[in-house]
Amino acid sequence: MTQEHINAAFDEDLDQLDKLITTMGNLALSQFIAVIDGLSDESVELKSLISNDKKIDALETEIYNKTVEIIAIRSPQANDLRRIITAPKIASFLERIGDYSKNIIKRRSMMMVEESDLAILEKLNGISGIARELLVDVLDSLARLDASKARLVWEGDVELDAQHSIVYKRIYRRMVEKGSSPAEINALFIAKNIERIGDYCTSIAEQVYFIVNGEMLDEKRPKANNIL
Amino acid sequence: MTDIVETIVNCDGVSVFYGENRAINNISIDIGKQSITAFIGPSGCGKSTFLRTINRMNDTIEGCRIEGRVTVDGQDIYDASVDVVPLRAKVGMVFQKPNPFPKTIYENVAYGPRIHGLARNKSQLDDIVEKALTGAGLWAEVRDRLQDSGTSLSGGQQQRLCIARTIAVEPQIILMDEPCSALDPIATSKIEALMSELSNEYTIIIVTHSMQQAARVSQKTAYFHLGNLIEYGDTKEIFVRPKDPQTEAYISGKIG
Ligand SMILES: Nc1ncnc2c1ncn2[C@@H]1O[C@H](COP(=O)(O)OP(=O)(O)OP(=O)(O)O)[C@@H](O)[C@H]1O
Ligand SMILES: [Mg+2]
Repeated sequence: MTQEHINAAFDEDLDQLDKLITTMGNLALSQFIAVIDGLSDESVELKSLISNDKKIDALETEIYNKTVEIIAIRSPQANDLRRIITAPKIASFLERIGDYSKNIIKRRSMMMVEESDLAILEKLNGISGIARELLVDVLDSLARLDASKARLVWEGDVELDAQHSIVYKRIYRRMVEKGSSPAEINALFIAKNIERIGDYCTSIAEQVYFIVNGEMLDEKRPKANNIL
Repeated sequence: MTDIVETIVNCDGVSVFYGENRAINNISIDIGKQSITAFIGPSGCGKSTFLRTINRMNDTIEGCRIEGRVTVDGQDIYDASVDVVPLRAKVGMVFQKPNPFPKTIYENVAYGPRIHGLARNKSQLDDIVEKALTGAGLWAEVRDRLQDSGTSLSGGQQQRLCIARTIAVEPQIILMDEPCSALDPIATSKIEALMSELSNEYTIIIVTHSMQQAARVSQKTAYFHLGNLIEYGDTKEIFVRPKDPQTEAYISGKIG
């Protein structure tokens, strides 16, 4: 909806809300990218990740407050209403993504990098790459309110689920064969966190679809054969 | 669309002209019984004109002509045999500006039932007046001052007096043309609550410029633009996901 409101202050409010969400999305994405780097590079700093996480939390609150204010003052309708009402929901999904990223790094910092762990890390790198693509695409679909792209993300998460399932089984089998080590337990957590980030991308995609079309994506989402 | 349980007003291919000017362009619509329908749209789009076709108030306007068919309760109201006086009792109207007669509160309400012969004696008339004022949510405020002038009431009270006057003649339909635009938020809330109450018994059609009011009170909303009916559907649908971009622009306050 590029059409402008007769009351320009309403457009300014909407712009501000959009900016807050964009900023939050960018922060969540940079957190996650730092995580991916951190998987293969131990030297990634935990401190900056934690301070970014605080910023993400603060933005979530700000978005919530802004939403309440716009609803109270502007009484939005139709497309505006859908855009505004979904903002805090999207913000909370982004906050979760930030949180899971932080947890991944915490787990990663507990892992010793021994020769045998490298293979696990490589597998984690594979699924984190898929998750990153989902995140980049869903943020793009949000910025451009592109429902068909959102739908692709929504459908694409099935690939992440499938890959996660494979990685999970491999790590699990190794634990059965060779006995479990802290590295493997941490790796299982990391894999699960990455898979959850994909789920949140899907949830954001659903919101984008709703903003544009006024209805939820209601067909059954394709599911990979998943033991989890 | 939630289905209309029972249609009470049916308009079929209705056009209205003021001299050469076409103000309403071939509108067909069904209005459900005992429900509230809101007519919305920009100033001059023809809401009032269309509303007035439902009780033939347009007949009173010089040079105004209507084409098409309007039936109320199955009866073609433009049929030559129709007497407009009982029609306008059956299809009552409440206006933007409260317009009580310059008479007592009692007389304002009693006048209609008396001329329509609804009461056989004074005590029946008293009952009708009390019932109508109670129905309009005004009884408690005026029971001790029924002989005061109707114009001595506040704006919100006057509007409820006009509603009492309308329901005193046992209408089926109440047409309201911006009934709250001269009222403060409290008086507006009272009228809105009253409308919900009344819609258990009567069919209400309201013209309003307040999107919030339309959203709050009505089950169906019709959006008019330049004499055309652009979109008509469940109020919840219209305000959450309107189908027509013109409706979307109007209710969102965007430049069309
Ligand atoms: N008595 C009249 N004589 C001539 N033209 C009229 C008359 N009443 C209305 N019109 C014209 O018919 C069109 C519709 O007017 P109408 O009053 O029905 O609009 P409306 O939607 O009720 O507007 P508003 O929201 O301002 O009350 C307008 O172009 C108006 O100028
Ligand atoms: Mg009007």
